[in-house]
Amino acid sequence: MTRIRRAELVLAGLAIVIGVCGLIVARDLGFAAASGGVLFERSDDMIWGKLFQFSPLGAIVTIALASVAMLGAWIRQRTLVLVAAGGFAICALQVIVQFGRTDNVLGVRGGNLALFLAMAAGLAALAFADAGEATDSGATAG
Amino acid sequence: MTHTELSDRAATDAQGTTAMRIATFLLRIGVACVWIQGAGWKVPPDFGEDAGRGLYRFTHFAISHEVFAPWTWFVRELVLPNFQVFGWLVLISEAALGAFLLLGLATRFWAIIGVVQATAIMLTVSNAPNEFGITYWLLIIANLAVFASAAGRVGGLDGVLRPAWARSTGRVARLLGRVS
Repeated sequence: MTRIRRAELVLAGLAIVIGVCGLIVARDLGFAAASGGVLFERSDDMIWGKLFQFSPLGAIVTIALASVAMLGAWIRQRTLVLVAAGGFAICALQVIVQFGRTDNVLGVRGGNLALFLAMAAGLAALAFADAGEATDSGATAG
Repeated sequence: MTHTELSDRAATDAQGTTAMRIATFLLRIGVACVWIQGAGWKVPPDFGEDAGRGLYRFTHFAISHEVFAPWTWFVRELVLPNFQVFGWLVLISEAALGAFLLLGLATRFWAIIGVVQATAIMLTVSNAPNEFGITYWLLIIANLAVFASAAGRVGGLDGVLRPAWARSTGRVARLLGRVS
């Protein structure tokens, strides 16, 4: 397994863990609650205090996109990784458009913008680098 | 020096290297978490301007509890009259800082942005009530340490992607190689 694929799996796995934690803290909220459940809410004085926030819908979307990325990395389908990156970019736009409003369907806060940006940029950078490596190998083999 | 002493020294050196790598990784993740947490309470669309809370209240400390006169002038004359634009810039820059430092992608560039942002915060709130001014100096120093140690090369995407960037002849790849 290449370092790039391993990094894709780690990134996707991290997003799945965060999404599952989000689903747990949001389990008693409305499906698209504007103010979602907060991860690590009781540790505001620690560096990991109040990092991310999800409604059940937001957590499920995060898990679903991360699962697509993981599947893409596992079966070496860069298109799937790029689709997941695009999905996370749309989620980042959702934060910009809906955070702080009553129609915040993913139940997110500003920290989620960082998470979604990280997933979008990270997965896209890895997928494009993987494509470049495949092209180089092809050229070398040819 | 005996063989055993040489072996012990080699082991100690190896542990030091491992400890340094772990510390560099944790430093980057810790600084990223600080910025992610900071992005969380900058709430659009008015960023607290209407109620005098949140980011607006903290920005106003630059005037009510002056730290540096030219900065106070800048905040009073340019930032507060255009507060919503400023609020969006702060939210997006802190979220991007958190994202890219968490990934370890283009780390040295974002660490410098972090130094600039932490300096702006320090000049704004250092003299405010219940603020511990040294915290912001420490944040500046932590971002400088991330820059100096090129922390994205340890457990970050910079470390994974630099070989590919080095082989590439593309302008973007060369730029990313320089800022990693």
